[in-house]
Amino acid sequence: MNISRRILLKAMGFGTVALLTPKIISAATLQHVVVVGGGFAGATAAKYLKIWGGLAVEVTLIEANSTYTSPILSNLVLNGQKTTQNLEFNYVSHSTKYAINVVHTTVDSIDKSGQVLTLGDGSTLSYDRLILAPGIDFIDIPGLDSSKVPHAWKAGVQTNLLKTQIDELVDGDHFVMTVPASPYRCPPGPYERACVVADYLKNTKGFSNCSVTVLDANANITVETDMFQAQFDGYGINYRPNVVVQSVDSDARSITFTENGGALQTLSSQVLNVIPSHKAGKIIFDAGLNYGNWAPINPLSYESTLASNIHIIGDSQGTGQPKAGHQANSEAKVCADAILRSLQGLQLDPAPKTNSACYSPVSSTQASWLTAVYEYNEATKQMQMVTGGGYPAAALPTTGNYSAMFNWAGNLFADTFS
Amino acid sequence: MIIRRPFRLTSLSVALLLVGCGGSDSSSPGDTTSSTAVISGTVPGTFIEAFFADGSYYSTNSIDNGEAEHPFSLTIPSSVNFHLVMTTNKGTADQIITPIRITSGGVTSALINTSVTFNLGYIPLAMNLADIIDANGDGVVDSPLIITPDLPEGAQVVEVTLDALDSDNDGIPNIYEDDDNDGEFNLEDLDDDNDGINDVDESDDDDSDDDGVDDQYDSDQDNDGVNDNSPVTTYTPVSAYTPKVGRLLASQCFQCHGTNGNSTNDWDSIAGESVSEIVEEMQEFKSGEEDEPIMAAQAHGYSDAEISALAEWLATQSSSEGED
Repeated sequence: MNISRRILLKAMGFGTVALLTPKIISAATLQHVVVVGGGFAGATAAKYLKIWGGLAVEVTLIEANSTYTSPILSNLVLNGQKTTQNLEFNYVSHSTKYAINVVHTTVDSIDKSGQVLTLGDGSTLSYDRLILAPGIDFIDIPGLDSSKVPHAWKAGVQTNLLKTQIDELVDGDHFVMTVPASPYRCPPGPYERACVVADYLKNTKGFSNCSVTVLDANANITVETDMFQAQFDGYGINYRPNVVVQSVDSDARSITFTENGGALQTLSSQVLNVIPSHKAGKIIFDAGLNYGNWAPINPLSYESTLASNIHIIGDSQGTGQPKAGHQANSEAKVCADAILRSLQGLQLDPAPKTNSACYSPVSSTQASWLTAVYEYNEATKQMQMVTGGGYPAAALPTTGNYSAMFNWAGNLFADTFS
Repeated sequence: MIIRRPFRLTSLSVALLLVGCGGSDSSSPGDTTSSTAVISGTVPGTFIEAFFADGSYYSTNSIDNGEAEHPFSLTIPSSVNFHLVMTTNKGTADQIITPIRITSGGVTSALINTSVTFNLGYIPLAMNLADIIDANGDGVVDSPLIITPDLPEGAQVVEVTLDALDSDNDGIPNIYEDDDNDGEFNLEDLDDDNDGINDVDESDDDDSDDDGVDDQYDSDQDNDGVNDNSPVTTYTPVSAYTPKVGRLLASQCFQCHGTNGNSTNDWDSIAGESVSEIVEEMQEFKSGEEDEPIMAAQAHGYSDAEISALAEWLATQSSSEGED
């Protein structure tokens, strides 16, 4: 205590009068929840922790970038209907509207027992609860340089790179893309992209001799199979399942692979869009929170089964729920509620539900959708599709769906970032 | 920039009165409302500053009424954490800057928030430099003054892990630190890191008013006491967490129907509909009587009891636009 004794005594003397009739204990040592990653999962979790927890909790959102570019709708950048600027969001509402500490830095390491993060600038930050929402990382493919052969599966620079390459195509050129092995981010996304690009080349550019080839790591189109197969047939897309990519020559834009376990073959193209298979974000592996490629969690709280007080939501978590922005937002709310309950010593909600919904453009005027609701299975301790719901309910692409797609995305964006 | 006016002060007492408008209605968490509080009290001639976690800044001078205790009044945001700093003998050689810490309920912190009126009681600020400990001679007391007022419900002292306004958590706000030890506070120092380049010309200086809040998130970037966001909207936070039946289920509608059921586009808002309306609609989707394939699929995902629970919660929400 550096203030003078005289001043301190005066303060205490006068304070005593006021202290005679205390009504409540007007103080709080706030529990600190740190959210790492500001995508659909992390941004939603931070927001709802404050909407529901208010002054009872301190929330810090750590995100490397001050703007986020949504992968949702980003295939429409490829056909010129959107720009990446249209899909950019920031964290101003998180800071000024919800009183979240927004910190733009990286996390170097996690001290799981001490519950302390070391940040990119060398400073440390302690937490009571930690939410990790790092999204996806890619599994290396020999020879692949994504600055030459884009994945465009994390939106922004990559999306614009692929857009530029597509716009350099001339009639008769070839577009080749790969579909990652399940589970991967946005199940309909690769098939949607093939359709949007085929439509763009054929109907916008007027190229009748371009080819679009889809090399799928999976045995069949993974979602909305009949609908996408019909679209592929209509566009004349060359669909090849059971492909295992061996290597890529990024300068030559050629890809070497096996198909149905056969001999190695190589395809060259003017645009090569290789979306490697996925694994959980790097921080999950660095912190030893993975089992295989993903992070095992308890779906009632999204708390890691490998470390206490660390929760993992969004694409990195290892339940069977789809990896997608809408679903990540959904999981984030269950996680936020569970953390607030447990910080208060309350029981977790025993029967949380999540849902996914996704609109997929298949041309510049038509879109399809799929949706599902997930419930907790007490026996398996996992989430499963609600039985008898008839999911997924694939529909024919329509123009009505196309306009509805922007209402869906608009409210999802606002619920996450505004 | 703070307007600097000379004051000659003799003694001091302060009563802080906060009058909240908007308040903390915990029945409607997530409300966005314009809400302010008013600080008033009496001092002999002190410059009172309040620094807020959202970067906003409020200050006032006490008014000389001819008596020992001069009244002041300051309008501040409701339910946003803030630091108080009081300056006596302002603008003179005897100027003393005193950051305030409050002890209440066993917690001592320089961060306070309130949605209600309260009285801080007398604050015995030092008037003579000889009475303070100021080892580095910067005119800021080395340790904030601790006071122990009676805080009513709605006002609280908070202890946080990360206080952007006070990075080293010593109770002295960043702007009254002197990071490069050149004898100028960061606030007044045109070159905070003493590298010879003025802060305004440094591309990596994204906190132009040196309050610790990056410009991007600063509600008052130039600390002129005028909120840069117009109209001013502040989130009205709930003061305690209470799980509400149906809320988590209802929140699963927000991806498509907007936060708290308020859509941002021409898709339906579902906030403020009556319980029976929501239940009836969901049953019509379920039965196929209303032909909405996505809502049919969603409605199948929830039991009748769950639909009732989420409808009960949604019915408590205010509709921001008054749509159906």
